[in-house]
Amino acid sequence: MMNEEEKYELFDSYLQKELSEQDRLNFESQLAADANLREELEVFTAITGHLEGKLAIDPQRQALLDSLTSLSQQAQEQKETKVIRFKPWKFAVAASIVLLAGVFVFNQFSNPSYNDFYEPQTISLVERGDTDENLIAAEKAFNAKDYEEALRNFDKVLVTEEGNTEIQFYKGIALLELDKFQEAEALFEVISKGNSIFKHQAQWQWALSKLKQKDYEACKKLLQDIPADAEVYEKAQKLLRKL
Amino acid sequence: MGDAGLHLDQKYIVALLKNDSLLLNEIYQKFVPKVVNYIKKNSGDEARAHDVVQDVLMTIYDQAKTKDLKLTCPFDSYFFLLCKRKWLNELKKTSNKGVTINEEIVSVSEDEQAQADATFVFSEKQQLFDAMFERLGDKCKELLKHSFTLKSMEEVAKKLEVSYAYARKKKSLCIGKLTQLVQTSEAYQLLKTL
Repeated sequence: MMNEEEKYELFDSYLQKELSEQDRLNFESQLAADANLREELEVFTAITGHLEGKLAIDPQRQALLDSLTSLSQQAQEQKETKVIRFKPWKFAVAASIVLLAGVFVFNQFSNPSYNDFYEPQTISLVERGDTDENLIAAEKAFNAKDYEEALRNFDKVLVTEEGNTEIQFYKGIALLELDKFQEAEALFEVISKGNSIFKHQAQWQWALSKLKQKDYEACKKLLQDIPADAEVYEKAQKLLRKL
Repeated sequence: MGDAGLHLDQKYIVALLKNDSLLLNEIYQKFVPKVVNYIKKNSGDEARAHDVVQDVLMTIYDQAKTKDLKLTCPFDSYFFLLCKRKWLNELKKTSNKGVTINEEIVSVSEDEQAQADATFVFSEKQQLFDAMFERLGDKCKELLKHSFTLKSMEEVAKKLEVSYAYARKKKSLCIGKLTQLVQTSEAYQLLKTL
């Protein structure tokens, strides 16, 4: 049996790949026969790896940390300006369902229609503690697909929160649902040219508005301007392929 | 098995390793708001939520860097599970009162849970290693710091004015000592059962 000191020196040499062929084979057969030794080597190795990562200066790690810090700050500043109360995962879920449905439909018909791509959305604008009655009413009506009523309430909210992009965006959707294309598109155009998180969503909805009017050329043009990093990019490409 | 089981979302792991700003931004647009929302609903605020997000992303980076993390499930649920767990642990630490958790029932696949568990164990181990490192004697700490920052053990020997053989031997003994501290800790015994 080797003593503790010898054991750790052996571990170290093994990890540094400094053992002779014969010594290595001997050590490995010892390991194979001894579960405790295996476990100890495992911890020894994990600690060595950890110290390497932790003590050695890793400029990449620092660079990543800097990037994340600035992204966090951006996200929090955006929140403060109250532009966003956006829940993208809801779109993602809706999108995946609709894409499935869409693919199914496309296999049977050649011309895409608004309904293939339209995603009935539920929105959640009201946060805990919000007491704005109009906002509550707007959300309720929108989710109940009573777009006339939602529209009336969105307008009331916008009286006090003129620059609220989120409300404008959903107002646009309500208008589109009501086939008020010009008004809807005017809103989508403004939002898509702005810098909010709704930018690409608005561009997508604008394109859908064209689709609903069967103006395929205009729809195509709008879709082509959606950049590859936008979350609606895949949907846009899918629709483009069908046009 | 090669890359056969790899999920497409592995691109986000690679993005962390490469500091790819486009994809990092996508993580913040697509996945972070859900976490922030969850933490805000559960006694947290925006700033603390972002701390959790950052810690978890750095842990994923560390694991990917040292353990070659291979994602076999969607990043979304993996990331969310990790943030949620981290937040619940923090709540437990800071509040002695019982906390009510506002939970939306989401189904989690076995694979998602297993991947999140593996990263969780990894980060717990890291913390344990750090805590035990602090318990080492000053001589060991100094030697280990040099061993992992200087280019070679020859340089370490020179710096500490000892022989190369002694530096090497001491290094393995110090890591051995740390191994013992870790293995005999309660936390390690607990982690082993996970």
